[in-house]
Amino acid sequence: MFSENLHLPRARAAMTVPKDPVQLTRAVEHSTGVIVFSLDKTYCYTSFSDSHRAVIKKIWDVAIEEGMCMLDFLPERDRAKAKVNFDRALAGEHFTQIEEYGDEKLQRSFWEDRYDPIYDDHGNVTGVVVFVLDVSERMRSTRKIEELESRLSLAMEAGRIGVWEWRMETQQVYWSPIIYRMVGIAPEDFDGHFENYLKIIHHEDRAGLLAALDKTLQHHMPYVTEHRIIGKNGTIRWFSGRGEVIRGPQGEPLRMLGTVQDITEQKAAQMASIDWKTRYDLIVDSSQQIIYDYDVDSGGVVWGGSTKAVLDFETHEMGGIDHWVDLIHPDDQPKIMAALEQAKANREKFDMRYRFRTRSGKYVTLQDRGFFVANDQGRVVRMLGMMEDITDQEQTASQLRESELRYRTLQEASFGGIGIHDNGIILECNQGLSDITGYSREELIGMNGLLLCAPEYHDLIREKIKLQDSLPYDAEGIRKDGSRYFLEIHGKSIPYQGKVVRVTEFRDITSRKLSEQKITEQNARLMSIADDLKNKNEQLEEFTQIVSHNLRSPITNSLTLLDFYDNTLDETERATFIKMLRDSVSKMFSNLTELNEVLKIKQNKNIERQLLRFDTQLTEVTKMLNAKIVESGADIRADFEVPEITYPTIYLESILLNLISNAIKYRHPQRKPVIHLLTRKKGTNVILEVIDNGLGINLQRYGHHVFKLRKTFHDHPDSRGIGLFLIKNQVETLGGSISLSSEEGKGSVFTITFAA
Amino acid sequence: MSEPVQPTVAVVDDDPIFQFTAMRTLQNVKLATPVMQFSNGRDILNYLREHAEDPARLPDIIFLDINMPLMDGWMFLDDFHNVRESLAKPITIYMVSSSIDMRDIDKARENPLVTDYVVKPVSPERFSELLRRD
Repeated sequence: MFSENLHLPRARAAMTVPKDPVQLTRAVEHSTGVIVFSLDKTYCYTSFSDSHRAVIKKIWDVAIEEGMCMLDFLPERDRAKAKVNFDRALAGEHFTQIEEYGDEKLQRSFWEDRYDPIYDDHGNVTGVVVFVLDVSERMRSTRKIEELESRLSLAMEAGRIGVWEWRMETQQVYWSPIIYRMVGIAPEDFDGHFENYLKIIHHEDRAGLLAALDKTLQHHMPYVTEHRIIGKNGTIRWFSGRGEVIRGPQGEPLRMLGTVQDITEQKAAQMASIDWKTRYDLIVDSSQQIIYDYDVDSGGVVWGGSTKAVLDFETHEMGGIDHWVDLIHPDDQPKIMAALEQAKANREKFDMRYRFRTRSGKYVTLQDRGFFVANDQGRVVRMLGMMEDITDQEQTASQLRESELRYRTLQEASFGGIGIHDNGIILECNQGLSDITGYSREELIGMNGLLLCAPEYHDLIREKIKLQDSLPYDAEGIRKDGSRYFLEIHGKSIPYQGKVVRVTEFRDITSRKLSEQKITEQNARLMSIADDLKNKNEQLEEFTQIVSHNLRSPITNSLTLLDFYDNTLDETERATFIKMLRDSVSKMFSNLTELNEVLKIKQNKNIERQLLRFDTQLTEVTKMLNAKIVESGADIRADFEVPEITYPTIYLESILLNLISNAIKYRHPQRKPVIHLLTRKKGTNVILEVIDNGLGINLQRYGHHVFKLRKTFHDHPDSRGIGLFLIKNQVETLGGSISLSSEEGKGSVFTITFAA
Repeated sequence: MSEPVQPTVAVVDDDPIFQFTAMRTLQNVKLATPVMQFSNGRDILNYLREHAEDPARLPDIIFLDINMPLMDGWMFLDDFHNVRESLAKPITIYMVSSSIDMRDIDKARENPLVTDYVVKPVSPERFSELLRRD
């Protein structure tokens, strides 16, 4: 850069060196004022300008002559570098070199030396010519600049100031290294394109930055910006930038140079120092509060906060205290004035609610809280306060009240008792619950709801609550007076005030239960009627059977015999037929008699009953059966737990007689008959059991025939098949029953249930 | 009318008068020889078991009463069911009863072992018909 000021002809082309080098140098010296000297290949002077001689004298105190070898008089430290330069030129190189030469004590200066080889006609180097320029002054300035630059650089580092350059032509941005560090971007991550530079500018600041650049470039305004840059890791830092435009001859901007400084800390401090007023205003604004400060003496009011937003009045339109009073709803004015007077007199805070007219004439409800300020003398001078628009809240509250009212009405209208409870403790209930339980509402709230139910249902109810079951179920309730009633409980778990509570409806279902009971009773009655009918039907079938078999049979015989009689004239045969006919008719007669007996039993439901002792009756029967008992050696044991029964004498006699004679009749041939009679109570009924160790019977085979007429299952001459049929009818006619259990070869148990 | 082979008949009934009249009627119409008599189901069942493999001694036709002591007609049918397989020849069973109860009639007709239900009194013509039918 320093060589630019030297306008020397291009050495190699122009140097057609004159024959006389001395003349040449002189000529050059004179024409340019340049210091020049030439040396031969042995470093001896071939020529030099006067100025050179003077310089040598001055810096080294040597008087030079032609032919003198230069290296000889140079001091050690300068000789070496001088020789290097001469040798380069003697080797054919053209170059310029700045070196410091000179004796310390005399003068040491910077010299810019231009070395050119000297050629002979054959192009061989014969020497060197050196043009010398004293550049000491310039070098000193440069040094100073460099020093200053380095100092500046240090200062900039310390002040976190970076230098940048923006070249319009290439749209390239250059950063000094500190900028990379400040913004937190590595040099390899930033290619310097202006477009990409804009990308790392915080999006909110981009427009401002461009506007500032525009102002500077178009309108020559100083470039000053504050903007944020987003670093590679997302860190945002604030920078303040300054810059100047370097323009071309026509004033066109060529490039911009500037500095950039990290002001993040200052910015943070600045943000922190947003004064409390601003914050207060922000809060007041966002809370939709109106602030006022009323000067009592002047009647003036300072309005602030959300006056405009709430009342649609600008603060200056709100005016003084009179206007304020004027805007209060006429109906509310008296009580507000009175309240204020009282607060003022007592220096109390006030908290009032009133309707207030807005600019549009619409009324809003204001909540006005404030206080009076007294001066040193105790005289009230100011009233300060805040007003808040609570119209919406008011509406919400009234809607809530309304819905609560509706809910309560609904609850009251419900026939049931409704309670909300948390783990049994009643939180809220309706009048219905009070009506059902007999407790007052006040007694119920806070009471454990379980106590409203009978203890035997507590576990069930707890379980239902635990499972959050919402199906209705029945229980029994206990009223305050201790009386019980049937209850249908219908509970539902619902979230309420942050927890899960249970809404339970009690429904008194006593009348329903009573109807149910009635239905059950009626059902039972119908069932018994049906049973009765079934029995009757069975008896009817039995009767048909009896008629079919027992009556029809001898009649058919008779008819056949009569035919036989008609078809023969043989008197002997006829006599036989008549005899048989007689047998048949008498059989028919006896069957009819038996049937009649049974029918009599069936008809005689209201047969007279006496209080009978089982043991007495048994004694009577054993007397009647004495012969058979003695003959069989039967052992009759009695165990009458229930000693007495009210029953028709002949029936009980018939029952005992038939069962005991049966037991003897069908005794086991290999063992002595043991007949065990016992009575016991089963519910309200008396049971008689007759247990024997006789032949027993295969019930699977004969079970369906046991109590039928004319059924005998043992090959016994006395078997008539009427006894069991008879006593069955006797027992059943009076509402009892008879059954048999038996095991073939082991014995039988007849069980008679006497209906109470 | 002469039949080449007269079927053997068994009358099972506890009523001696019916036994008598039935025997006489069968003899009069000369339809069967001989006529075996049993007074209840158990007796004939024992007889059948005893002579199961002797076709000459087995009846071809059984007239079976319903109402009998010890083992009635129904019980006999239950047991006959098990015996039948071992018998040397097939036996036709007619139920013969004085009962005109439809339940008896239906019950008999539903039983595959019973060929027909015959209501007493049984005329000679009816006996002939039943014997011929076989």
